[in-house]
Amino acid sequence: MIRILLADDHAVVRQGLRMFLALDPELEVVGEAANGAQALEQVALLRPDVVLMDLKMPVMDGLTAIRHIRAAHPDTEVIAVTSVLEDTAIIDAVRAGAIGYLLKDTEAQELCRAIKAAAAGQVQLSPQAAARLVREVHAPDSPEQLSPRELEVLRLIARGLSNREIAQELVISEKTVKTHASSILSKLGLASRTQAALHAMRLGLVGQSEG
Amino acid sequence: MPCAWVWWGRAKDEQLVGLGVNPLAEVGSGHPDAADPQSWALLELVPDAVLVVSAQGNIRYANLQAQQLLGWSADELTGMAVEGLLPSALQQGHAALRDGFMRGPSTRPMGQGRDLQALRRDGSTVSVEISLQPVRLPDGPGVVAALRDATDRHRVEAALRRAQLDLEQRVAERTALLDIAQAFASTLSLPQLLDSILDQLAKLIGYTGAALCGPRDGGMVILSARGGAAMAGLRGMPVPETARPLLEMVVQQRRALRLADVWVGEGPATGLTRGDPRLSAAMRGAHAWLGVPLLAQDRAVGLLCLDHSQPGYFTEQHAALALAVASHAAIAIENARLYEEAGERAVLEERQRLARELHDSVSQTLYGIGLGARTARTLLDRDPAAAAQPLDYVLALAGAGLAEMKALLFELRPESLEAEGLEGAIRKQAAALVSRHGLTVALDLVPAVEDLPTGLKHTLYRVTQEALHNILKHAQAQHVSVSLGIAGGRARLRIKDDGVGFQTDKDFPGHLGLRSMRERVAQLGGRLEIQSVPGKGTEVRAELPV
Repeated sequence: MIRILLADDHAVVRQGLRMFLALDPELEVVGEAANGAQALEQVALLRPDVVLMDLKMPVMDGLTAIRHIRAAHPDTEVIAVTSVLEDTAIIDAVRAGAIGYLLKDTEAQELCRAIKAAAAGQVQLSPQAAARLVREVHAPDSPEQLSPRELEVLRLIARGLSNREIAQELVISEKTVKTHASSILSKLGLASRTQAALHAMRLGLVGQSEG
Repeated sequence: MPCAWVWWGRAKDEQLVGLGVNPLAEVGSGHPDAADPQSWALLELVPDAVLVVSAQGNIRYANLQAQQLLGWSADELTGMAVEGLLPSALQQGHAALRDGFMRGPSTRPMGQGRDLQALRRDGSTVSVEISLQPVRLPDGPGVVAALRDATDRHRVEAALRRAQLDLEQRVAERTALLDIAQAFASTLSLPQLLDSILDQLAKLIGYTGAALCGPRDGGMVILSARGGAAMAGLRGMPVPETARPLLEMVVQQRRALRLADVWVGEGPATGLTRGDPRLSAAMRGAHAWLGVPLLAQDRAVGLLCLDHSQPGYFTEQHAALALAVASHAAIAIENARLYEEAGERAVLEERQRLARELHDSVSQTLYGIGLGARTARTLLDRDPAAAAQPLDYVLALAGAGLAEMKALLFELRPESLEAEGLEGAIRKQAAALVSRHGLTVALDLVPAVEDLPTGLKHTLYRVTQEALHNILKHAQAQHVSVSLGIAGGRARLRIKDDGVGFQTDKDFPGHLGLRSMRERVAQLGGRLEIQSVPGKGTEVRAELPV
């Protein structure tokens, strides 16, 4: 069961999402927040797997909330939700640490799939988005050296594999994959698997089309 | 001696009326009797110069004053022809005039309305007034002529005339400037105002053609033109390239430039007469030219050009007057620019606000409808009975969306405030709040608000709207009350909620919207107050003079 927090200042949107996501037995909406500050509180309290985060919210906006959540609770993945396809909004969301982003007019089926992928630690970037973002997201200049195993995990993350797939590929446990992943992020000073994948593309560990 | 006394009089207007003899002493022919030369000694008493002249024009007697005025001695004057006292140009023909007088003699001032001149012994002339009185002399009819030195009088009169003209000119200038100032106050349209400034200028200075040039779309354009079809046709035309050097010279030097004749000589003035065909056609018949800069707060914002068919027509005073008028035009142009800028900014802000509203309401509602419909669609296959709940949700959202859409469309067409009235408009806003957000809204609106001026109603409506928007967005309120009434010559609007409130002395959510509300109210001379305590709700009060 994937535990979800909805953060959106529009009650109608939260209500609609809750209703729709309830149709999928793998998904469970555990809480709601009307602004970024509330979202932070709810994440600390409920420890959800995935947060659907609206970017434009009063009190504390979505970007600030994403940064705080990723810093304090790296196990919680955040999907940024925007109303309009704006490059800057998407770039900012990925920079803040969102694993992915969705438009509010995204097909409802796609919404469920994206939530499940995020929960599985799977980076999903369209080749076009990756090409755009790879220039925008940078690791610090002299990151700590990754171990050969970590490099292998990074390469697989960048190819868009889920935790389970990486575990099968490397014949290790899913828990070990997660441990490697957090180690990679902290060594590179990055906030999300998506940022790590973009970093790997920059280094040439994977081709961009593989991402 | 028949002549008992001599009288000498002046009318109230200081005009000399002449020498008379007591009518009681009159004898015979009806003319005073001056036949006794001894009686002429009485003429020494008279303060003016007096000559006794025969019908043939011979001077018989000249008193002391006459000798002093004309510079001849009594002996020299006696027996001299009266023509000898006339400037040479007038000598011929005087005999005929004199004969004419003698044929129908009467007591009268001579050469009325003309500046009479007498010739002195030294050849100089002196302005005189002369009165004539027919008399009888020992050897027949004659005339007594009284002369007075009019030099001072002429000088004083000329000075008075100048003062009068000067005064009239000043009055005309003041009147024209006042008219311009009034036109200024009564019209907001820049073209009308500039036209009226040029029309007033025509009364003040008089010109054959006139043009006002000012900035538009980054270039210099002829904003207004007067004087003939060719000239008027220049309106709206960019200042031709060839004329620019001359005009820029005036603008840069920031003072008036006068040209005696634009068709004479070389230099920048040729840019008016040679080059652009439309401009040179308009300049046909023009010679003198005057250009003054339009200075607004020491910044040149344009140029006033005048031309006249008479070469060298424009004087320094014309230039000074034109500068004074130009400053009015400058302020008008500057005002219009600021006004336009403010208008554009307002339009931009309005657009952003509408975009925000659309995002906040309609697009979210539609998203919710989509989610609800998809949920219902999925449930139809699985558990049709369970589809009722999402469908109810969709219906509720569709209703709310419709109400919001109506409110937004209403805003896009401000005239609907007129059609629906302020009360109807606020009720609509409140209805959207109730249907979509489940708030309770208490309204207390007096019908008299519909009689308020349109601008005031719009402001009241927008303040209400902004306040409700803030409540929705930030207050987390349950109950809202809106009251609007008129008391003590002021419209009073109050919007109160029971939400979370905020500290009014800090930056708070929605402070930008509140600031624009406050500006909107202040523009109409009103006041907007916000009272709020964290946890205790918010009250927005606006008061506007009716």
